[in-house]
Amino acid sequence: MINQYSSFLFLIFIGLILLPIYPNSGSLDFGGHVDVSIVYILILIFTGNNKSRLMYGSLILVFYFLLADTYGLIELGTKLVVFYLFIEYIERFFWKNIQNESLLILLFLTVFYSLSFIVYKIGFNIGLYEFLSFICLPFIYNFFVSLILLIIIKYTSWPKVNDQVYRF
Amino acid sequence: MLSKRNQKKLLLILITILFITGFFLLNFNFYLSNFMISNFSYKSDYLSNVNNLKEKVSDLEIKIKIQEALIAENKSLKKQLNLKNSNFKFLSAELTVVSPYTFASTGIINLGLNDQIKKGQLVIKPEGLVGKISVVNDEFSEVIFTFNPGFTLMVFVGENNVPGILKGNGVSSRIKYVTNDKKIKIGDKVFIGNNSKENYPNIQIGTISEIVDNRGFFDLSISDLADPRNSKYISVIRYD
Repeated sequence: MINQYSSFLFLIFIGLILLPIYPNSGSLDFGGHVDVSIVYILILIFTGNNKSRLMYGSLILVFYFLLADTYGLIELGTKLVVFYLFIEYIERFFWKNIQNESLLILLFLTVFYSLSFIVYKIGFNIGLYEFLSFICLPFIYNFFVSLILLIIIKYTSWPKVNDQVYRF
Repeated sequence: MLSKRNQKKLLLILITILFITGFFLLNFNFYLSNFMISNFSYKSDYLSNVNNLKEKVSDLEIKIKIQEALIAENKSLKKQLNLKNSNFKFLSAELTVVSPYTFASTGIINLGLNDQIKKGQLVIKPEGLVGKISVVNDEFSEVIFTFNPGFTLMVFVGENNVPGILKGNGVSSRIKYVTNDKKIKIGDKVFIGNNSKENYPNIQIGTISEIVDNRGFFDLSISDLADPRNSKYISVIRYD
């Protein structure tokens, strides 16, 4: 119960840090190139899967959609599809390794941007070059910010040492 | 007799002392002058304030003169162009919230109906066009950025004023619906169409940077569009 409560508070805290909807707020705002929802989803995926995390992820996506216009539905749909795809993917494999997880972040971003490209190509006839030049910086920033946060959250926690029981 | 270890310790201590003394001796002049100035110099804060204010006044006088010259030049140019009742107002606003979505991004500014903001008014920053007002509330308004698929703007291209529509596609903004029989070249100027609701005159918003022929229509890229994702302060163009 305590663990759940503290993890919930922790998630809220991270959410507040990762909320650069205020331009130039300085809170992980790399010139507006970081997609906070992607970073949030990646962290949720890699720190373990359960129903509450799924709910958090979906709520975050919907919350950020409220700040976009109706065309944001396309992106919301794409993100939800990739989110659930990766939850299924993660459940089948055991990725407790920073190298594998960084590869998985790259894979997530590649799948998301590729899917977005296909959707926007069909819907708005965009060119590959203009798409690549548009997502170049967001891709790099999203990758590094997610990786850094993942290292901070998952790999630099206090060591879990079991209590030793002594018999006298 | 000292042991080798103690000799080494002594030597190290001596070197350290020598280093510190040398450092202070070399910088003694600085410390002394600093001490003298801070403690014994004649304190004249109010005099220095007066001097600062005098400098500011002279700077402002120079700026006023430059502004007056610019106003005079502007008036003469308006006369030459026969521009009547041109009453531009640049309302400075703060982009308080930007949606974190990558493709369909919008922003919220801290100006609304109370500041006579209307739907469709253009939003710019020094680097270029940012977008236009899409929703207006009493105290705030929503801006759709140029790359948003919902963004459309009537424009004229080149000296012949070829009409087209600047439209966002999620990642950039392109001029569409220009038939390929029109004479358009790279570097042609792009102006805002003067038949818009806001009745803007022909303001230049950029130049043509790429021309693609696509099934009988030109697909034109435009330069000088600002990236709104890192903007903080923008201006809304009001034309009465």
